[in-house]
Amino acid sequence: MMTKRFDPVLLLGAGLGLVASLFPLLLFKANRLVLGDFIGFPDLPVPHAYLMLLAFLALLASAFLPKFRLPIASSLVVISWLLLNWTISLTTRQLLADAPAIARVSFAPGFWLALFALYVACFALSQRWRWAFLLLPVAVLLGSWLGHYELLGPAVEFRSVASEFLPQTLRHLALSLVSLVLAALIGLPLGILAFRQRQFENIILGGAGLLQTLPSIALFGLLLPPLAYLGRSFQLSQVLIILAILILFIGLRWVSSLRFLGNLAVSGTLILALPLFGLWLVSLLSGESATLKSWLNLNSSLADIGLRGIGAAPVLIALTLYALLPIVVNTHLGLRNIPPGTLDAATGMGMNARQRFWRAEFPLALPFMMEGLRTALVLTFGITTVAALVGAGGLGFFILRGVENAAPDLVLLGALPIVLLALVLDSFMRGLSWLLTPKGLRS
Amino acid sequence: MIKLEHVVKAYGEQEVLKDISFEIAKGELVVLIGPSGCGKSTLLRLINRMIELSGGRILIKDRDTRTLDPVSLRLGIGYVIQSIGLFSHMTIFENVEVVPSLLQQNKKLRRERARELLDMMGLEPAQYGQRYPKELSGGQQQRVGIARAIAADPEIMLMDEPFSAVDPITREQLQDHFLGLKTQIDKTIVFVTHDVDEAVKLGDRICILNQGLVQQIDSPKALLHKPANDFVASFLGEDRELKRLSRIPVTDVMRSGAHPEARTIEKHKSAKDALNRLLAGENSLNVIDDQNSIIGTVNLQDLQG
Repeated sequence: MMTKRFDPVLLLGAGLGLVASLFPLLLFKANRLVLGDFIGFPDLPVPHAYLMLLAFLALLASAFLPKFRLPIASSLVVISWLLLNWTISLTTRQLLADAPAIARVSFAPGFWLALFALYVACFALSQRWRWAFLLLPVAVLLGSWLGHYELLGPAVEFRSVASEFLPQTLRHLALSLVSLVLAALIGLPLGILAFRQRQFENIILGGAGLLQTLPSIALFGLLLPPLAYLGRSFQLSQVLIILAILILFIGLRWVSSLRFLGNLAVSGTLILALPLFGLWLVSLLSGESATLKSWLNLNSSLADIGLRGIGAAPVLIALTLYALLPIVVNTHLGLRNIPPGTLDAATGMGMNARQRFWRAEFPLALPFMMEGLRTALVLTFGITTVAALVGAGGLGFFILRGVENAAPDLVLLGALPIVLLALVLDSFMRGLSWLLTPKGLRS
Repeated sequence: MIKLEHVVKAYGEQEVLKDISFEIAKGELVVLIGPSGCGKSTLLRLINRMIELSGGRILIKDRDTRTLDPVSLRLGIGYVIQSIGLFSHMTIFENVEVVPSLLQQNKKLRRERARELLDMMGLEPAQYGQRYPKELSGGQQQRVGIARAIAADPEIMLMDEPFSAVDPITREQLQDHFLGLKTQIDKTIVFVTHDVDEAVKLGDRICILNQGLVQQIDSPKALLHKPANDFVASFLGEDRELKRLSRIPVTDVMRSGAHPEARTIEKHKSAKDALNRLLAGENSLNVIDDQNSIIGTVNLQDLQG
């Protein structure tokens, strides 16, 4: 194979970096109401700005170095980022030196373009070296360790809401993880049912697809009155009694003529128990001690344990419904994807239905099921942002407050962690899926 | 061992099998053959109740299969199919041990048995046992498929076109291997194929099916020599006498004595091999045994029996 004389993707990345330097890097606002001034190359402190330009030029040149490209270009990516940060932090310091406390310096298009440019460069390098994608996070961490971001808008906003940041992040995680669990408990059996009973296939798959089209805000509005009514009108003790009766009726499944009633009791138990379980898990994970205590008091109303028109209840319902589609579709697909010969052999060798499911169907469809859960988690984690609209908290809280106050830095403070955590959760689920995939199925 | 009595299978109005009756003796290999759509696979799958009968009955060891639990019935019957159907998430060992594990046999014993079987199928257990199906060739996979079917030592085996999906050379190797295996394992086997040569090579008896009826059931030699009707004759092909000769060892057609100037042929060759040599210009051939001593002689007249 002929070695290329230059790497076009790396060239593109470095070129974008140079172009980025021509755009304003920062936006200075004396207060939240003024439009603000863009700060570009001519306004930057002198030696640092040129050094940064030089770093991008060197990165550009490294694209033509076939031999030592990897180590040189990798260091240049980190160096360019640090010089960019250093320049920005010095500029910010100068800008804020004699400005009022309410003044903010935030990122402008040039900064985002430079970030994208370095991402492209990392991508180019990762074709040769798989860990190259870590260069950018390492550079960002280095920059934050050097204190480059302390004076920037999002950091300032963070300090003003620091005490709320961790609880809201946990809340965000709790809401999306619990809805994933609920959706898995409902979606996996539905996917299996759609595979086994052809007459339900279209209803289940179509229904799950239809749920996705419901606008979440409308759903919150529609759920508010009935949830508020339920929360006010029933007590925990009443629900527990109904639940106990239903569980007793499950015993009818083993009476052959009353089997249908038994199955009905199973469905009823699940319909009642799943939301309660979800509410309890959310309170537990987001550390709401008052709500958790209400669970121990049988006289609590359902509203006390979290079933209200606003708050966690409508969010859990909406997120669970949205997460159903990827889980149901992938479960069904995974089972449909098993070669018919495998199942024929399983039955022909003398497996009963249960053995065939646990020994053949389930392990063979597991990678698809995990893919469905992964998609669902990333999806719900993003949608949880709207939870703040109905007072359920989460990182959307900062975004909403940022929008209300025309404070883009506050919006970023909510948005950046959502993006980063979504990426982390995504990789985590990929890793988990790889671990759970039977060795013989890994590619 | 297996007795089919007036077996009928219909899908709606259409009768795929109409009134099939025959018996399969213990230790016998019966080949079901016929054009596609003749119901040969259906008949096979009726035996282990993968498909349910529409009429008549099937007896296994004098017990009506409909009175037996289908799952335990199948546990006692080896099952090999064309698509093999190995479990791709299990190692080769685990695949072979499926039925023993369903029968909850001792782990150590069943691993020992799996080693033995892989060895018997010509797969080195130490080399292949821990691999996964996708790492094996089609022919190797079918060897595992057969090992899996006999792992729990069933008395009966059902084989649905087991060698059809592999290339001709591998197929021949598998057939030869299987013939050798057959003498060791002593199983009653029902074998479906669409390949006349395969049927002639492997079958103790061949059952020719067409339009849901048994056209003829007999030993390969009898079938090829005296086809019962025009369908059987044309299905077996114009070269059926040659096929018949391929099933006859040369020692069956030789006369005693020796021809002074003739070349030699080994005694394990078939009459067809001898014919081939004779047609190539030899007047007669002397048949020799393993010690190279002449045990008889054969010429063209001897082959016209």
